[in-house]
Amino acid sequence: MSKLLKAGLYRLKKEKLFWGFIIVSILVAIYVLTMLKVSKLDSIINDYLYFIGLMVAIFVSIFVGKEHAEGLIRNKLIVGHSRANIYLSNLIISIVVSLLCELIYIAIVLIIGTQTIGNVQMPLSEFGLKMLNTTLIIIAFCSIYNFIAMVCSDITVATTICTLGFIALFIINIATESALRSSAPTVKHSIIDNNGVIIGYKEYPNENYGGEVKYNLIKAMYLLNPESQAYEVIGNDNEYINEMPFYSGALIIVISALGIYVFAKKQLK
Amino acid sequence: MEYVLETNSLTKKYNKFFALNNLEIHVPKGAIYGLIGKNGAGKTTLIRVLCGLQTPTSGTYSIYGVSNKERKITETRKRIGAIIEKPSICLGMTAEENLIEQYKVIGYPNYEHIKELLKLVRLDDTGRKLAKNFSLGMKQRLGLAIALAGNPDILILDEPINGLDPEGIIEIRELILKLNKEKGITFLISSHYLDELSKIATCYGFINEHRIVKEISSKELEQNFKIRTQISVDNLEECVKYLEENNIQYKVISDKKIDIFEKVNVTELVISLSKRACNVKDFAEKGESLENYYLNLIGGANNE
Repeated sequence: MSKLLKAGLYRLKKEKLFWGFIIVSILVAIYVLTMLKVSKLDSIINDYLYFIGLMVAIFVSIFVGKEHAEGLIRNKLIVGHSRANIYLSNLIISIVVSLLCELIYIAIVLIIGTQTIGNVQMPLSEFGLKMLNTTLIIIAFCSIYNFIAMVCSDITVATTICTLGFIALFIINIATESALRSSAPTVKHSIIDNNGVIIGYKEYPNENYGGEVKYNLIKAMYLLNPESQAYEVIGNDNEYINEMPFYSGALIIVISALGIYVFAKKQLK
Repeated sequence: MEYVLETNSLTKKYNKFFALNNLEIHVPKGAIYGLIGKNGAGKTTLIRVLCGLQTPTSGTYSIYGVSNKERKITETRKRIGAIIEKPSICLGMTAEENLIEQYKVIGYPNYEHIKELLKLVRLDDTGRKLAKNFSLGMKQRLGLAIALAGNPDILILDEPINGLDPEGIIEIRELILKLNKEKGITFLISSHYLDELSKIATCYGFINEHRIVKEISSKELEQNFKIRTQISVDNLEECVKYLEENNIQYKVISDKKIDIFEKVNVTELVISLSKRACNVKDFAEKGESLENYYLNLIGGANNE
């Protein structure tokens, strides 16, 4: 495995796409800091999650797709590497790249933002939990797109499916979020002061509540979607933030195990 | 004879379609084994199965005596290098970078032999040129260098001269002969270019309808090639009499043409026939080619 990782990281250094995404991460951080007029650093610290799903979809499908297209997987198999190791090494490299981009964004926002906007105001425990969720969301995205790119041998098809996959996750997020709110036991109403600022929430019983089973099913569908989790982390109500790592963890394990199994059975060319 | 690659009733099915059907192949150690067959006969599928890219539906294969059913087949497969259909190279990297990556994949601690390898395939002067800007021949040679990076004992080349210009073909041919002679590497080469293959192969496997129909060494093949001399005469009757009297094998082709299946002394034949009032009008020596042998064999197999 270490040999595959070393070879993969070597190829990464020579990959223009990788350096392109590093530059994009820097530019996004600078854009958010300069163009968005925000009063609290908290509201922009996780904004890169808006882009990360699409970024991972494009990067993984092209980087892994090239392995198929250029026959590099063949080279690895012939010299005796197992399919599981090849699959996992590509997953790890995808995770490293995606986390690095996120880290660059957060580092720039924190370093410049603390000077220009002020310190992060959320408690350290909440900040830590959001960072943990961010990491797991990125790994979950990588697991999904690595699965598609490894199982699909054609780079064009893989890139198309991954990009459409991102759009599908986005649409599913909107649909399940709406379904979740309407099937929740209670409905939350904001309390707004005279200046229009939200000062609290008040909950009322939901007339459309369809029972615990239905609600939990929709909630699971919602939280199993990394795109939904990303919006939860970006938002401020932190309603599901404590249980999200379990959903991410389960998704990562199931998708990766399935990917290793399917790739092991795949008839390569 | 020691075989480095062997198959036993190897079968590969895609749904109901047989890509390989009880295929038996025996590649002797140190040989340059030419795998000959038409498109879709199963050559590339066989190579993919041997390289571990695909799993057989039934039957087995062995590399250096290690069966694909054994766990150590993955380890044994390290003794193989291969180019399947097209060279496996990273187009966005230079020749040297491609080899560094492959060295990392293999796990070599240093890269001191890379220059030697590049020199061997005559890519040592490519500098910073990216592989995507290489000619087809250069890509093929880089693919060969990558396949050689693991110091293989067997090299499997699928259509190695496809699309190459005459110079490229000669370069690859010379390289194969050099590696076979100097490093003792066994080659399994599939190719449509039978004339080219006949210049280097030491044995052949003819594949038709997804199975091997004949395995033969180049020496045996040469013995099978019948050299015939075709003559045109103006007195067929006298010519036949002469051939009968001298126990020379022949076949009458037309009322003026006869094929003689023996080496003959031309001067003696012409003088002797002339004395019998038979003039030799035309004379041509015709040899059978690998192509003819293949066509006869496949034709025969198809007629069975």
